[in-house]
Amino acid sequence: MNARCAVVRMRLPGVDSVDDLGERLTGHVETCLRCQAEAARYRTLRRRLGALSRDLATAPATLVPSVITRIEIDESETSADLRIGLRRAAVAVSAAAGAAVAATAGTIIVVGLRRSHHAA
Amino acid sequence: MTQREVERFNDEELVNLASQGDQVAFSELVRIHQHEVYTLAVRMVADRELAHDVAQEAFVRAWRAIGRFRGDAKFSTWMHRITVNTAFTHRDRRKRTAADPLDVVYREPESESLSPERGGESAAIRGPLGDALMALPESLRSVVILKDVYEWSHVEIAEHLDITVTAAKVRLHRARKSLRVALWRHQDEEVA
Repeated sequence: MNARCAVVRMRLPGVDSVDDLGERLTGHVETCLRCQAEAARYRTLRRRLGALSRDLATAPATLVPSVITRIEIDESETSADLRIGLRRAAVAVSAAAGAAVAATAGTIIVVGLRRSHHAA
Repeated sequence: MTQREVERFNDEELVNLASQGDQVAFSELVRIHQHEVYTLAVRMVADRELAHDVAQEAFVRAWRAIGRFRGDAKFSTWMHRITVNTAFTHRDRRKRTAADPLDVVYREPESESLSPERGGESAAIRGPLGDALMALPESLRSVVILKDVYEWSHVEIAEHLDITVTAAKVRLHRARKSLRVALWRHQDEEVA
């Protein structure tokens, strides 16, 4: 193994193809059986890793029901929050309306009292 | 919409229905993609029980966000991203919990929680390559899985893992080198 073999070995894990090593090192690989064998190992490794994308584990039977239950709880909490929000809004609106009525009545009484005071 | 009706629809149609609040359509999407999402979760966290929680949480997050799904990527690609983010949230949570000495004592070893006796399968996780992957440190495993199994770019990996592109490349280099050593160790020893 010479210095170029060492550089090739150092750089092979980081590239997706021997061509990415650069012209000089690619040329070396073409003539070096050891480096070709090493490059073939990394090619095989990448191919086997790529093949894993089609290889699926079986999800536990509890997964789908547990997701559906979580979503139903989520939805019922959201609608409960919405109901509470609407109820609070209704209370706030009626309180504001009550306050407005009280303020108007108060104003009318004050104005009426002032007028009667001026008339007297 | 009934279960029987939604079974005729493809992903795109199911996503459209789900984004309008159709729970049955979303349940069908969960049924279709459960194995894919669970497999990715197992590969990311290397623990079946935790992977179940990650997959469940990922689907719940997807349901909450489905109205914002633009459809410029496939539903499965979108689910992969959510699953990876969820896996990292769970990992961080587990790290915080493990700071408690009692949790460290009772924590199950990763290899044991993936034993065939407990899980009952699978070539997707087991086998020499699966074993070698699961033996990698999480920081290296996640990068090599996302790059070489799911074909993410270095930029995407860096964004999701909150690391630099250079760090992603360095981790990929280390991960592949470790896998190469693990898979061809016997051959190397014979040559030597």
